[in-house]
Amino acid sequence: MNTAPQTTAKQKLKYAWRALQLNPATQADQIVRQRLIGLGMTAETDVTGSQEQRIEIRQQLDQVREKFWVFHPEQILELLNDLPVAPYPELKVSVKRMQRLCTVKPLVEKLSRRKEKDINFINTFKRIFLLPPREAGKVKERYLRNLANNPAIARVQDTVRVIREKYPQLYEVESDWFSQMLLIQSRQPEPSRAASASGVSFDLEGMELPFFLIFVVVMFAVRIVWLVFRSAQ
Amino acid sequence: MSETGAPRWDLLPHDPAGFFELSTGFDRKTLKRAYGKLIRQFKPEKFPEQFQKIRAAFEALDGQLRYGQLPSTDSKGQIYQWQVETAAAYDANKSASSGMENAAAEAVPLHDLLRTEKPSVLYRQISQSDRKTPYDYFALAILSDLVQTDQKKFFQWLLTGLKEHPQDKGLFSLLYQYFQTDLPLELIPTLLLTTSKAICDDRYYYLTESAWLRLLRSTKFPVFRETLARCEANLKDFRINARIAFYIQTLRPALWRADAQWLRKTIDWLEVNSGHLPPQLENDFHVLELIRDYQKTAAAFVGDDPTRRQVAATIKHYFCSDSTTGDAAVIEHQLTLADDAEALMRAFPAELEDSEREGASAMWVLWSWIGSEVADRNGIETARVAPEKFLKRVFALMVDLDETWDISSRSMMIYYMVNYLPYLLFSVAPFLIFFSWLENPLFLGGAIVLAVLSMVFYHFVLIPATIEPMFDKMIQRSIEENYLRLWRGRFVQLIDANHVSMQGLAATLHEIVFERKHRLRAVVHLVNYVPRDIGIAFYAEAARFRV
Repeated sequence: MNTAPQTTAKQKLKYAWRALQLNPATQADQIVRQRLIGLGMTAETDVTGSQEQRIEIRQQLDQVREKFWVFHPEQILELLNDLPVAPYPELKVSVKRMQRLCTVKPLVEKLSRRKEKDINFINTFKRIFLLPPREAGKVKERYLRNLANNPAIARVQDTVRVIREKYPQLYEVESDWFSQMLLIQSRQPEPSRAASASGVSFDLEGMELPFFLIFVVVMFAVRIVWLVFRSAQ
Repeated sequence: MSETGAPRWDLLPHDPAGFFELSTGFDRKTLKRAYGKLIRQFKPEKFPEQFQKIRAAFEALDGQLRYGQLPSTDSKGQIYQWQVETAAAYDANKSASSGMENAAAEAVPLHDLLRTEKPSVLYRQISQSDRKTPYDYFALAILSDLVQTDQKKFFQWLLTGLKEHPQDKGLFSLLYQYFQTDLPLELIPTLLLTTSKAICDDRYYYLTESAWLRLLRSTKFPVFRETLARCEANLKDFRINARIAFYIQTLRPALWRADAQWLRKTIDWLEVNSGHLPPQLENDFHVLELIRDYQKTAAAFVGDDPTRRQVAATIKHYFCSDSTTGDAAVIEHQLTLADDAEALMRAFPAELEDSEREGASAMWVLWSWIGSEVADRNGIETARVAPEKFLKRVFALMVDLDETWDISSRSMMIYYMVNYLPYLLFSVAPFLIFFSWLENPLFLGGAIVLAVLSMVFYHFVLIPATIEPMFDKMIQRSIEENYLRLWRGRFVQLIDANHVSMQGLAATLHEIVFERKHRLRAVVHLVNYVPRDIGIAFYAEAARFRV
């Protein structure tokens, strides 16, 4: 039981008055709850209050997300540190991620100022940065799917390499996505790439026999030419 | 549900079965299905109060079903009558003593008397009564909180009432709820022991289970073991089913905390009595087997890998905590895993050593069971996309990956040389052997026949027996390399975007490869790789918890 905060005789009386009207066969949980409140063993709004708080924290987090690029990292960290997220696992993880993003926010700004960047990629990255995970997953997958046909793939991959080498902390934030981007090969028609662009299969798909017959026919033709040539001599 | 399709909230808490729309004789599976349906509608983040009510109703019913207690028939028409007799009796006595003649007819409820009378007076009056009704004991328990400093009095009055009226449902339900609360730990052994002396039948296990679990989780194991032994010595009339239900539930944390001797004895007892295992407990019994399988191989598999260690710690935490704390720990850990796919893939590689396979499999089976339980309890959905839409996405990815399958030009050259050079050799060799006699039509014909026969032999016998298997291996290796280097990561991204379960993904791959027979090359082998990939399975499980 929680340590009892101050409880007055009036509170106890209120509890007894309420509880005596309830039927323990069907309302035992309410009686016990009234008792805990009446004896000061729990706060009256504990159960619903915490759920309301969860919604409130979520709203606050959304506000922080909206202003993420406007606020100074320290201001954001201050706001995040004040959120009482300990009892809410999903919010705890979101806050932890936001705190991590705060620490790398200056690196994103530095990256945006570099000359060799691909601006569309940077914008997508900044968007993913703050999207809820489910939404971010969709954007990341779609981006990977289209990257091979993106005319700027080389530039995008160069930007990713810059992130990996110059800003490793930033790379860590979406390392699985970045790694995949570096592995994707362009499908843009380039003369030097044409031969290997789409890969090669060993499977001749049933063409072995025609190959063989053509070969035999050619051999016969050679032989006949050779015989004709010899008899002419 | 009502005619408008909304749940009948007015049926809670007194008729949970009616609330879930369960017909007579329902089982735990049906209850879980009905609960899942409602919980998906009333998610905790959007409807916190409703979620709490639904969960409380579900847990109460599930607890009853585990102990083979059919939910009270009272809820199906025969309303249990809670007789509020004390007020009238007290009023009558009081009025008589004060000389008011018609006071008995104007019975004032006890709670109203509290406005005019001192609680200590009412308490004394009722406690002095010779024949006490269940309501008297209930009233004494409540009033004791106002007039006594010892808070144990509440419990004592309820227990005394139950001794006097053993079948009273009101007092029993209240005592059950009392044991569900966060009781002071040092008080629990005394309460349990006292209860075992008053309620010696099979209801004891059901009534006190919560307190036992708390004792087991929060104190040293010998305290639990010795208290249990002393309490069980007082029990006289219990069904074996209730004891089985109790031990199956307490073994979940006990398997992590108990001493080996007690565990062996308890598990032996359960196995000896497995013939009495009621159907509603089969799944729970199976869970104990999963835990034991996991424990046998866990230490060797977990090793020093930080991700595996965290998963192992969360599994233990889940079984050693109450359901709310355990669920929160699992949700938090799943989200952490989903946030670092690379670490997860490193911890659970696609190709495991033989020595690790058993441990990984046992960990995965238990982890996925925990994941399903937590997700079901908290209304977390699995699939977010329509199957046909998802199938199209997977197919698009497979086509995409198929195009990335690349073999080096050196390997290709070797392949063509080894495969086609012999054709040339076999076709030319007879002509070279009979070179000097080729003008003779007989030798020419013989050379042609020999060339044809040797090429046929090569094509139909030698290639399938030697060259094909060799190149199959090479292709396989190439596919494996592609899977580990590129394809695996793309499947992680696919799961991240769609939040499907491993089963859903495996079924979709199977359908694309075997049922729809699309023209694909190397990626058809994904149907063998993805469903066996424990890293992908862990990731899919983690990603479903994302919101």
